[in-house]
Amino acid sequence: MDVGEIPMVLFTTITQMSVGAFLVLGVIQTLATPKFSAKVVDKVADPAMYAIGPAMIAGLLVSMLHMHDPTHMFNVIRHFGSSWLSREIVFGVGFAAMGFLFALLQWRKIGTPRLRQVVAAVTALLGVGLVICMAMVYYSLTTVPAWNHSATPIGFFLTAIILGSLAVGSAFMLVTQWRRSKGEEADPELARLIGYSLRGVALAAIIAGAAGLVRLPLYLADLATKGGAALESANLVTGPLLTFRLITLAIGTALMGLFIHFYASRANRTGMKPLTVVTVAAFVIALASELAGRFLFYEAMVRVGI
Amino acid sequence: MLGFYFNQQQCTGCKACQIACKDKHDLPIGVNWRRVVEYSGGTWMHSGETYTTSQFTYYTSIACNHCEDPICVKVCPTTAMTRREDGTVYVESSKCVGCRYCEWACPYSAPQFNATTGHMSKCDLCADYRDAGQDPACVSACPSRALDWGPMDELKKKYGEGSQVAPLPNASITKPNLVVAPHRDARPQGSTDGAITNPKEI
Repeated sequence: MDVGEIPMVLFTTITQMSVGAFLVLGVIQTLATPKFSAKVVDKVADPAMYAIGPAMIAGLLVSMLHMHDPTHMFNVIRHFGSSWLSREIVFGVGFAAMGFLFALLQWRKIGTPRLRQVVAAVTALLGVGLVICMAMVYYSLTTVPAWNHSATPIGFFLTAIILGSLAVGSAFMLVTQWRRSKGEEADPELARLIGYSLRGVALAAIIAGAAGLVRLPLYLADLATKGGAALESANLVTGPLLTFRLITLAIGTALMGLFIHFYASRANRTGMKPLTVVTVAAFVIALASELAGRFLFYEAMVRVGI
Repeated sequence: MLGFYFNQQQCTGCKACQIACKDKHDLPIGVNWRRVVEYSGGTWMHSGETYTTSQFTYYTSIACNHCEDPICVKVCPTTAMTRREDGTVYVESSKCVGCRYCEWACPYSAPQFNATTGHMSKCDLCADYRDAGQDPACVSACPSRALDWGPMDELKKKYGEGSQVAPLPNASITKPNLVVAPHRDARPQGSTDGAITNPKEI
């Protein structure tokens, strides 16, 4: 096991989750705005959005552990025209900065809602760009067949969707639970929006989780048939950690997603607590699965040549 | 463009080139700009009272090939990895952040991380020796004269186009400035007949 890649495992997983969460919140906001009052929408979406900031900053900080001479840090954007690593850093900082600006505008209610929407849209685009650059950092290495594979961008976007939607679902439930415990009155409109959102989030997690479960065996079979360095990668990945990754992916997304869907449709009768427990458990199990999967991604690094 | 010539048939695997390089550049443990790869394969066949062998072993001495299409230069985020006008690829230490991305990319393991400086390091074809009119340390150290260096057109005129042999990667990836005269048992590039038998040394 190569523990040296742990900073990269954390950095890529956390930033992809942040981008995914921002996109999921954007979708919820866009779909809910015509049907619900702006106050309710903001009340649901804002706390989850504020949680993205620290996550993103933590992600960028761990990524710096990969540099051995931080005094030369500002050089890393010099090769934007050729290096996907430079592009990744520019988009990462851009996404974090724009996200911070949007959070500030939203918090202080600065500017018109239209302006805030434009800022949010730009942030979302930078986020998608960030995941693309991140995938290209690995995909563009033609000397590493396990990374120079369509599985790289697909896997990175699936991580963003799975963890983004489950993180947002967990944040909604935890905030609501907390508000209830402070003695806040249950607002039927709020409960309805959360119910809708959770069902959507569960659906996204189920689809992305199923795609992940289909992707992995096809990817490994493809590596194995290519031979050479690709076959070596497939051998390195196969083992107990892969079994753990697949089982937790199945449980965390598909099964828990079904649970959430089942519960959310009868939330009024079953009460909040079991729903919160199931949602947060789904998130934690999926996070463990994605971290294990990303660890295996780095384990698969076998280069052609010598 | 400058490059290296290497004759597999003449190399005995003594590693004098590797040690001369390490000594000249005062490289720390774990950093070896020039390495000698041992590639072996084959088996023993039993027939009646006789065992016959099809085993083979040959060596490939490899440093940086100062490629025409250097993937290390392409992927470096800082532009620290650059090419001089003579074609040699070198690291500008004042720019390098030590992210080791070039190390992931290069199929010859040429860029290597120096933990004491926190920067990448690599063969620069002994720029200071060349300026002083000397040959690179590895070339002058070889007791069997298996190594040579010079402008590629001259090397090719002198030694021919060379061959694509295992365990070197496909030359189309980075277009190395390297002419290899093959060993009599050399396997073609991409062959799985043999394996690198000293992976820890490279």
